[in-house]
Parts: sequence; C-alpha cells; structure tokens
Amino acid sequence: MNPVQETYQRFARLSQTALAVGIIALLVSAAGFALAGKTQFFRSYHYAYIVWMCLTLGTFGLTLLHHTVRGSWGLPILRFLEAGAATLPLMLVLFLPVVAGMSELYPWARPEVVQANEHLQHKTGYLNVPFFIVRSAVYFAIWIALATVLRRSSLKQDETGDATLLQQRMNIGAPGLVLFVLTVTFAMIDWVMSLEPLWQSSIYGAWFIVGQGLSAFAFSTTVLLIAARHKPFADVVNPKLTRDLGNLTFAFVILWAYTSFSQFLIMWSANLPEEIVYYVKRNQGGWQYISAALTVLQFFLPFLLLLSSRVKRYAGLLLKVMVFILVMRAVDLFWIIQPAFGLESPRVHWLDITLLAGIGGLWLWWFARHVCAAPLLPRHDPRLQEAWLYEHSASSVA
Amino acid sequence: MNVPLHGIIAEFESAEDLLHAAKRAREAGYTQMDAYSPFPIHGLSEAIGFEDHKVPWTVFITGVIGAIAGFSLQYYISVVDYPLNVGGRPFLSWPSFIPVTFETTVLFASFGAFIGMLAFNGLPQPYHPIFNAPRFERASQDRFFLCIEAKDPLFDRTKTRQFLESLGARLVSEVEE
Repeated sequence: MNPVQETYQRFARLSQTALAVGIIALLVSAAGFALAGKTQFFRSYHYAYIVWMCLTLGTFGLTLLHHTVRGSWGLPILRFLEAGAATLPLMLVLFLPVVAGMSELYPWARPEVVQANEHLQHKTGYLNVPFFIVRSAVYFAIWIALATVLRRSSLKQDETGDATLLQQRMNIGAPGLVLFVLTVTFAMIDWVMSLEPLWQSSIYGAWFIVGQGLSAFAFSTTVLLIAARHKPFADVVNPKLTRDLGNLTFAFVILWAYTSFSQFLIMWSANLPEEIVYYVKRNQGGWQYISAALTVLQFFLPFLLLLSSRVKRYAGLLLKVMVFILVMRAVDLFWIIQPAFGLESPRVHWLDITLLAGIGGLWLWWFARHVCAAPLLPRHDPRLQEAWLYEHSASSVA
Repeated sequence: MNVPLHGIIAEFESAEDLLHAAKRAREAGYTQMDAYSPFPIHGLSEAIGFEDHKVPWTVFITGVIGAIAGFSLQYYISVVDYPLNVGGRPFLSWPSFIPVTFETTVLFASFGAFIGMLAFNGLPQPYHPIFNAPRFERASQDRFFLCIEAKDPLFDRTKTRQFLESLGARLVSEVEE
C-alpha cells in the first residue's frame, strides 16, 4: 500500500471512530433528556450546536476567502476547509432539535413572556417562530448552495485540469464573502443574540465571524499538522507554510480581541441599563473569572506565543497553540451562551460535554468522509506549484 | 595587487541561481557572506546563515515600553494630577485607557522597528565598499549578487574566486575595500 493510501486510511479510521463516539454520546444525551429534563437538554444542545456550527461556518468562510484572495497558504488546508463546509447539510439536520426546543431556548418564543413584556411585543414582527424558521432555512440554502458549487468546481478542476474554473471560483468567492458576512450576521443575531432578546450589539456579527475564522484556522492547522507526518502533507508542510498559518491565526487572535473589546468598551462607556446588563451578568457569580481567563488565555497567551517566529517554525509547538485556541473557543462560547440562559455561576452540566462530543462525533465523521472523498491536496491548482517551489527552497535550506 | 579586499562578488541571473549559490557556499563552509537582490527572496536570509533577532526583540521591547508609557501617562493625568469625576466612574477607568495604550504600543513599536532597523544595519552609511563592485547598480534592477567577504576564515583570493566561478556565476570580480 502506498503512503498516500495509508493517509486515506487514517482519515477513514477517524471517520469510523468519530461516528461511534458520536452515536454513543448522543444516546447517553438522549437518556439525559429524560434524566435532566428537556430544558437542560435543549440548553446544552444549543451550546454544543453553536460551538460546532461556528467551526462549520468558519471553514466555509475561509473557503470563500481562499478562493477570493488565492493565497498559497490556503492550498494545503483547502480540502479540510471544503470538508468542513461540506458538513452544512449535516448541520441543517442537527438544527432541527434547536427548532424543536425553541420555546425552551428563546424567551420571545414563549407567548406568556411576550405578553408580559411590552418591548418584546414590539419585536414580534421580526422575532416570531415562523419567520425565524424561514430565515434559518434561507441561510442554510445560501450556504449549502455556495459551498456545494465551490466544492464541485474545485473537484472538477482536479479531474479535468481546467484552469478557467479557478477564475470561476474567484468570481463566486468575492460576492459570496459579502453574502456570507450578511447571512452569518443575521444568523448569529437570530440564533444566539436573541437568547437575550432585550439586548443588542451592532458588532455582534463581526465578533462571531472573527471567532469562527479563528476556530477554523486553529482547526484546519491542527488537522494539517497532525497529518504532516504522512504523505502527501509531509511534502507541503514547511516553515514557510507554518509561518503563514501561524501569522493568519495571530491576526484573527488580534481581531477577536479587537471586536470583543470594542463591544465591551462601548457598552461600558455608555453604561446604559439595557446594554450593560450583558456584562454585569458575565462579571459576577464566578463568571468574572471566565472573563479574565478569556482575556488572558484567548488573547494574551496566543498573542505572545504566535509573536515568536520559533513557535511558528516548529510544527509541534504550533500544534499545541492551535489545540489550545480550539479549547478556548469552546470556553468562549460557553461564556457567551450559558449566562443568557440565566446560569448565574459557571457550572458545566454533563449534558454539555456529552452533546459536545455527540455533535462533534457526527461532525468529524462527516468531515473525515469528505476528506477521503477527494484528492488530499488540490491536484491541478497551478498555485500549488508555487507552494511546492517554496517547499523545495525552504527544506533544502533546513 | 595588494589593495585590501572587501570580498569577492559573483553575479547571477536569477533568484534561484543566487539561492542555490548561497546554499552551496554555506555547504562549503563559508560563513561571512552577503547577498544582494532587487527584491526580497524567500529563504535567502536562512541560506546565507543570517540569524539575527535584534530587530524583532527591539520592536517587542519598545512596544512594551510604549504600552507602559501610554498607560502611565493616562494614569498620571486621570488619577494623580487632575482627577475628574466623569459620570461617577472610578478615576482609574482602565477600559477607557486601553485604546490610547494600544496606540502608543503601536507607535513605539513602529519607531523601534524603523530606528532599530537603521541602527543595526549601520545606516546611514556614506561609504560601503560593495559599491566598488562592477555593475553593482544592477542589484537594484535585474541581477542577483553574492559576496563572500574577506573576513571569512576560509577566504582565499584564488580559491574563493574559483569556487564562485564553479557555481555558474555570470561574472566574478574582486571588491576593493
């Protein structure tokens, strides 16, 4: 068996293991539905779903970005990004429990809450159950259509070598990116911000998109660096590439801090009751330690580590930083979502974990299957030769 | 014939040739060399064995100084020298200090990068022997140069010259001090 086939087998094994873990974790979670009650189940489910959805949208966004700017950094991770975006249909199916649990999750979906609150009554034109479902369907339709077209085009070029497809993807990528930012902004306002329907923030969409980009960079780099010991990735992973991926992740770490702090500073300065309540909730009862930890561990630590050219040169060090960022992203979303459900102090319910593993298992299963379904590196992309050229100059020096 | 030499310079036609030559020279044991090209070539600084972190560290340290300076300035103004009650907030309202602290960090770091780069490069420098090299003006146009310097322990007028010629240089010439 040749080394590339072995790499395929590794992804196939990942897919089987992930599926098994996912199904077991979901069965345990289903038991939790009866044991812990449906409210807790839906809250945990919503959290776990958003964590994985952020990664999905991040990989999809980076696919669009890659086809738009055509940087050589994107080629070695392109298949991971595409496979991540290919989980959108799966995520559509997994969205159904969120719809089923709407009245548990969203205060505006409970008539008795809306009746008691005049502000919410004014918002019913937008925040109502049928319109929410229609909007979500539209987002998924746009995302799945774009992701499918791009993936097909990229695979077709691998088969036929038709270089005009490159331009075609660029023509889709640029307007697609605009559409992406708009739809994801609306989706995050609908799915997450409306958990606290009386609160609003105008940087919310950008904040989430940056977080998604950060997740996606950390995830795809993690997969790439783990696979880097095997062919064909061993041929393209080199200090130039790890530096590029490290620098891009670094940029997203800073952007995340920038958007997070902008939102905080504006609300803190204005100190209006309906806005500042968001941070008041998240700075008491133990949540203040998570706030501080996020500042230090999702900004300062990765910032300082990724500043170093040594970390970016050695795949082993970079891998640790990336895994760490991925973990922090889950903590970050916990901090964003759980206080919205009225959780007064940070407590992890076991359903949070099993559902994170359950949805994650299915996600990785689908992801790895799609990685296996295509050449592991884009074959006929003329720019991969650029990447190869760098590889040869860099490795021969080292 | 007894003019002191700065080194021996070889002219190449392409970036790949230069990169290749630099690599070979390193393999041959030369350590004191410099490369000149019209545009940055990836991997070249590693190829000539350039390992210098003075500028990055200067940027980092000046950045940290900038952060401390910016924050201290605001602390001194708002807490020590002229405390004002703004909407009942504490005098040490650190969130509103952050944007200025960020700006001074960037400002100081940029100065650190610019001045540090000039200083460690020994610039401004009115005279440098490399400009004695024939056709050297083309280093800013379309030619790629590798100069093995006379201070290299392996440097030998004849042998180094032969070595550079063996690398397929278009022109090899001595550079006077």
